[in-house]
Amino acid sequence: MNQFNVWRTVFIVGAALGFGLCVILLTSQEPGVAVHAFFVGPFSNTYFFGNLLASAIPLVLTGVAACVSFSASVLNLGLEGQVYLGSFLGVFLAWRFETFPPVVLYPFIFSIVFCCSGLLAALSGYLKIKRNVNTLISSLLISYIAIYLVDALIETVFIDPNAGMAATPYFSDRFLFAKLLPPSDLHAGLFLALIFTFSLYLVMKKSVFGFEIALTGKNPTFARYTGISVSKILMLSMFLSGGFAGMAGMIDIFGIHGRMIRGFSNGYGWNGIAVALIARNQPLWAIPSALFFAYLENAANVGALLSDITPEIARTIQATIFFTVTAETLFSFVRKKKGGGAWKPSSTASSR
Amino acid sequence: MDSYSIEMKDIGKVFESNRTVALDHTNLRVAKGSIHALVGENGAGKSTLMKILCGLERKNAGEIFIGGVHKDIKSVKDAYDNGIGMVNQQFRLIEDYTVAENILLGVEKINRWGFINQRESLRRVQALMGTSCLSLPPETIVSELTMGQRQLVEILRILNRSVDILVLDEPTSVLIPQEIQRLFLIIRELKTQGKTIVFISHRLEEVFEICDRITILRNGRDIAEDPISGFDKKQVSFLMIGEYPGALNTKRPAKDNPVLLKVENLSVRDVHGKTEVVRSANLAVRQNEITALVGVSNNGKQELVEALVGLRRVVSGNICLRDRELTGKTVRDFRKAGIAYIPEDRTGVGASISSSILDNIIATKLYEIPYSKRGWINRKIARKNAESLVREYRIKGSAIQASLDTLSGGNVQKVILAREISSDPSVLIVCEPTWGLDHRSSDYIYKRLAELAGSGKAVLIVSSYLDEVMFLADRIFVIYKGEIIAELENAATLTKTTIGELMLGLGAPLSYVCPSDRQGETNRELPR
Ligand SMILES: Nc1ncnc2c1ncn2[C@@H]1O[C@H](COP(=O)(O)OP(=O)(O)OP(=O)(O)O)[C@@H](O)[C@H]1O
Ligand SMILES: [Mg+2]
Repeated sequence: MNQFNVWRTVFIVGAALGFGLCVILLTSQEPGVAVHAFFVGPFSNTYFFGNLLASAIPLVLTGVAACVSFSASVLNLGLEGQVYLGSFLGVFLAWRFETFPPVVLYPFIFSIVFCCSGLLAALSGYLKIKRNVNTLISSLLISYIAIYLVDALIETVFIDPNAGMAATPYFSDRFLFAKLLPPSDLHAGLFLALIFTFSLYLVMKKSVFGFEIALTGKNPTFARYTGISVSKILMLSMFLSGGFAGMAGMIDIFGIHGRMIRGFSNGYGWNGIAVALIARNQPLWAIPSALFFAYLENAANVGALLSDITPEIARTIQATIFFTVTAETLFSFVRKKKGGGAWKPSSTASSR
Repeated sequence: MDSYSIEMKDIGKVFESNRTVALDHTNLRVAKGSIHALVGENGAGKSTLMKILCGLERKNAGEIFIGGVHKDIKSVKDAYDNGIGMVNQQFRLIEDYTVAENILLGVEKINRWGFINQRESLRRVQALMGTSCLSLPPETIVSELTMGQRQLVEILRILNRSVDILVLDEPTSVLIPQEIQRLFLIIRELKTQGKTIVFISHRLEEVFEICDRITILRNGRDIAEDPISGFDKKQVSFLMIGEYPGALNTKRPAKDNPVLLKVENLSVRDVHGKTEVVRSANLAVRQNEITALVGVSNNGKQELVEALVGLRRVVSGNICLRDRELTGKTVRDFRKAGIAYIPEDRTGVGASISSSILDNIIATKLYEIPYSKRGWINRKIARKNAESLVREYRIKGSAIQASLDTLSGGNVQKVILAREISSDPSVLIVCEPTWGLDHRSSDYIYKRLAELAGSGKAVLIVSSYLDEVMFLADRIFVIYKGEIIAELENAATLTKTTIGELMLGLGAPLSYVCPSDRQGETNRELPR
């Protein structure tokens, strides 16, 4: 990110928090307590802080997932469905192969989940190439199909009658990731998320494949001219995007829930898109960006617990961010019009 | 001298992003009702100065007077309100819109339901084309037009606005001679109507043909402003670059050269896959030679070239490089086999304008060993290569990390030329090699093309600039209505008129004329 983008991001974050502050001041009876709970609460003890980090894990991964597809200029809006399918498959496989030792099972489950979610996304890529269907629309619709199918499975074949809600039975807790900061939810999936993000960063930054993705995103005609198979790149970036989204869901399940719960991942996909927008499609920046989103979510929850504000406040702030970030075009416009400020009359032509 | 139409005083412009001083106390005075030339090397600041006048860039210092009145031009709309219109060097067309829609953009007639009145629009566009004698199919989508046609759309768009001050930023570089003559007629007509024209071009013969006065820019400063009659071409080029251009020698030993790239009975369809736009074409590009392919646009020239580099599917026929059959192979295979290509649409096809110079340069080289290993890019070597090319080709601007849209028009061209020529291809196919280049750079490119052709490789140039073709080429193929109708050796007896007539299908059906005397070739020269 260049300097301008950094300032732009700082401005967006600042504006969003300022807006949140206003809402709190307007709605709360005891603003002092509420503001303190909101801004300091999440960092006040290890439990809250651990939860904050834990809820950032899936967001980092969905953010990274969105980064890949956005870099190639194919818009994967089906992250929700891919997250959901990935989670369900993870649970299903953990059950099915209960007897396996975790060391064997993890790589096995990971690759299957990655591939299946990836293929779900790649299907949109395929439709784009073969039938010129807009990926934005097809990925969204396909994702809804996936969500409802999984819901149907959870509520019929796989339901746990004793759960009292639409959820599957737990799988063996041998498979759950180690907790890092008990009693909070923070789990070893954190490292996985970091590894995934960092590998993607390396691929995008240093590999020929990453270069091809970025070039295809910037000018597909030129990419074709240089000899890149544009359709292959479109498919592969959709596949990777879907794969990362699947990982996001699965890691969340294996780290926290231990079973599939209907609607547990609500918003991971959409927030991932916002994370990628703030990170300007740079995988490493997805980490702070996801942390910020997780912070908002947790601050609102902690605030609701310790004072009289409602958790919905996080939604309003997130919505503000969404608007500001997508008004990006407006910003670049302002930048164009601004023109340079400092004109130093130079009389020496030799400096050039 | 009281009635200056444009007076720009002490204009300063710094681009913060790359700390370039583009204009440094630059002055420009244009008399009312005159045709004023603005010349200078690539990156001298011509476009920037004009963009400031037309509200596309903001100045950092200086003042602008229009018709003697101080004006602060902040936007394109301000400029239009002051009667200033500009034809940009970089096209500003909406590619998915039709010709008519682009011409009327922003000034559409809207009927009482709030819809655009299509029939009325069409009528207006046709009337405009009628009065200006520039005709184009009004309902064609712009993305299907050639670069020359797109340029005409830009010109028509400004003519339709009926402005008083007209800025033409390199309008002729992509036009063919007939179109240039028609444009000159229009410009002269506008002059008699009392309009003021600023004309930018790298071809001095054009400047001397129509301009009254001239301003020469060098490194962002105006170093001379005078009536054009006070100069000759030599002086102008000396003032532009600060030195006399060296003599140019592009001669190669004439031999019976073996064929490198061979095309047999090639047929190719158009974008829609319906009509055959190239029919049974035969073409041979020989080693150690510069071959030229000429033809009026929309006669299959472009499609044939695209087929030659693997970008367009072939219906029937073969393409062979040496003895390797390439028909039906992918673009990557063509490139691996040693075919490099500089397309006509430089910024749409030949480059990614929002990527850096570095990325644009390595984009086609990435697959070879020093630039990448096992799929990982070696940035250090890539950077070194890009840096040396920037130096070698005098790409003026900034660091290799700067994106292409911060370069001047000519420097963008150089990046693409540098990339393809430096890949040391067996056959280099280059469309319009010197578009937008200043003299020094054109000469450099001619030299490099000649060197390439002299070193056992082959060059195929596709150019609408016949002087250039006559100057460079050893052999000329003429394409007309999708068929190669003539193969000519560039002998002393060959004239531009002969080629021109063949291109228009007027010549006698002389297939494969091969005059074999080549004694006159030392006379080849560019008109400068
Ligand atoms: N948007 C930009 N950002 C940064 N630098 C720029 C930008 N536009 C132009 N420049 C720089 O300003 C200088 C002058 O550019 P300009 O486009 O005016 O040249 P020019 O005289 O029109 O050249 P050409 O003949 O190649 O079109 C160049 O060095 C260029 O790199
Ligand atoms: Mg220019």
